[in-house]
Amino acid sequence: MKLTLRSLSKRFITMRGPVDAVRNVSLDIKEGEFFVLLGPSGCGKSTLLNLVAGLEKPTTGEICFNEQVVAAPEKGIFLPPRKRNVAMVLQSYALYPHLNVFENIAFPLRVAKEKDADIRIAVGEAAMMLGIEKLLERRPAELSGGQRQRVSIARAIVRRPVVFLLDEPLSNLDAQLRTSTRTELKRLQRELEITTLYVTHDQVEAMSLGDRIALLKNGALVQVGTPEVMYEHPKTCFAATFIGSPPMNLIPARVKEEKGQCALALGGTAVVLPPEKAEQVKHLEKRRVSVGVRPEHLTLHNQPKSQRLSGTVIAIEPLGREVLLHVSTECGEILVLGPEKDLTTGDTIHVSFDPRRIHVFDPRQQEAEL
Amino acid sequence: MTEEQSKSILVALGAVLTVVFCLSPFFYMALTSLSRHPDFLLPDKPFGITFSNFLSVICSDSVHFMAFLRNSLIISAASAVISVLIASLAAYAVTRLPVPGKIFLMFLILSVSMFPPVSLVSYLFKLMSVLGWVNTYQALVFPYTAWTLPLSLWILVSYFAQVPRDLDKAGLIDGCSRLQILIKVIFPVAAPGIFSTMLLAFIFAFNEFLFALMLTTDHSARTIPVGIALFEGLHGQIPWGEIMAAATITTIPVVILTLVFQRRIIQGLTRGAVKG
Repeated sequence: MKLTLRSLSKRFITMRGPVDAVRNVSLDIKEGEFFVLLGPSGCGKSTLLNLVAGLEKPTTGEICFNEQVVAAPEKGIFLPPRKRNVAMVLQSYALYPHLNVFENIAFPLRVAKEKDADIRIAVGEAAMMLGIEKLLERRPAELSGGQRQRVSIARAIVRRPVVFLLDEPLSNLDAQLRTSTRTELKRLQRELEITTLYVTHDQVEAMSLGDRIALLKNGALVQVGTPEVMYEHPKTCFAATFIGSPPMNLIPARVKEEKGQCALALGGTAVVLPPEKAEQVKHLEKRRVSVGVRPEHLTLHNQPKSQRLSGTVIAIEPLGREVLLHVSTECGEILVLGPEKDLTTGDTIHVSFDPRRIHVFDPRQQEAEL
Repeated sequence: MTEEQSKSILVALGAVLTVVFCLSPFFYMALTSLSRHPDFLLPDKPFGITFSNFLSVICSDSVHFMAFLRNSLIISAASAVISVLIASLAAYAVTRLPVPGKIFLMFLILSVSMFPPVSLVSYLFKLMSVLGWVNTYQALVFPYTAWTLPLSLWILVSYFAQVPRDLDKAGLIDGCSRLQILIKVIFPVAAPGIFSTMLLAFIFAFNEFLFALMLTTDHSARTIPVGIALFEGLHGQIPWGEIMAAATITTIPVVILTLVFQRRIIQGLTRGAVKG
């Protein structure tokens, strides 16, 4: 099912005045797409999910399931959750503690007054898909966190919803289980071909699960795109630093002309830009900008040279295959990811940039974002 | 002896004193009911164990004890059930729905139970006379329900507030209406709370004296507290043995109910609802 959000806004009236949880969000989510809503806590991503589910009424805007309008306050349309056939998995699992696993999974079917025989078949199938056939007689209190999460997913898929909504479903699991459940969720979603909306604050989860990602901040969309686009072409400083781990370096710089070519002045170091990048930043000439470069796109050298930024290693974090170096330079501290294992703190090193992988951000845009 | 040990001994001593203080009247009541001589503590009176007090209370037609007991059980149970039913609907609204001025409403409802019963009873009698309800069950069920509602509401609000909101969310998503959520999710999850609230309302109605005294005239609706108090009028002297036997029997339903409800609490039904 196709999911369309048009200029959706939600304002909460609180004791301390109105709070705009969602601001003018428009999204087109394709049939069968795994769509991730990503953002820091309080960015409105869960509210957005609740709006789609029908747990909250939008203040303005429109939500459509295929061609059917399910919420449009201006037109006085609002369908409650039970008329939308959506399923939701919550971070807390929200299993019914007084019912055993079978009855938990069967609950939505019982409410819909389906036949007993049909219920048994549907619950059996859902339980099989999640490998919890042996737990059907148990109470939620007798299950581990991972098992509870499986039961809540089974309860969500048992009645073949049109949209599958997940609100930070993996946050309460330990790291190992999180990775394996992540893989399984993806497989399940592919198998069932259900349009899925997934909320998370974890960019790794977003990158590995999403067909597309929407990055939110303060209730507004920052950027929408595939994981590759989000990673390679962040639109703003916020997008640049939020996605990717370790985060992208942001280095204050100035756009200037160097021997007839467009270059970035990073303190005393000038980095000449290739023509296609130069085209993009020409309008920022002589202005202060932020240069974004990922730690993995920096190269370490022992010798100083032009276009290389020099600095002192102040901390080394071994990450297994690679090491993460904290390097103090005249432009502030930067992170460098590299294979060099024979460095010690206090060493002087020289960092070169791959000019094609440099991002230039207009700080005024960043201020506008805040 | 370590400080730890002496502390725990002091605590135990305190507990024993409290239990003795609370239970000694009941113990004395039970002893008196089993004795041939109510004044058995006097030096020249033997204890003389007997069940005749119980037999005469239960079997005697003129005492109507069994009728009082039946009236009390029916009236108290009906009041408790109706009170909790109404209060749980209100408690759901207070804890789950955006009711404007809910705190004010809660205190307004609480203030209802602050009138001294004496100030109400004469008007209540007039009202019941007009309705023709004097000496009927409903003459007591309605005032008891109204009287226990604030108590039930306040207790249920605190229990319902503990039921995780995510369960409501899950219920709504799974296709429930608000009323279905209350019945299928909140009631079972908050069952221990509902039980204890019902028990408190029941005990209140079971012990109530003033309304029962004024609004009933004979054994067709009279409750136990009034029945026992009026025992003395039946014979020339105060029949302490029988009064104590009746009182002993009367405490039994309350004790049983308390034991049942305690087991519900221990079951800890809310475990495993959400993470943890």
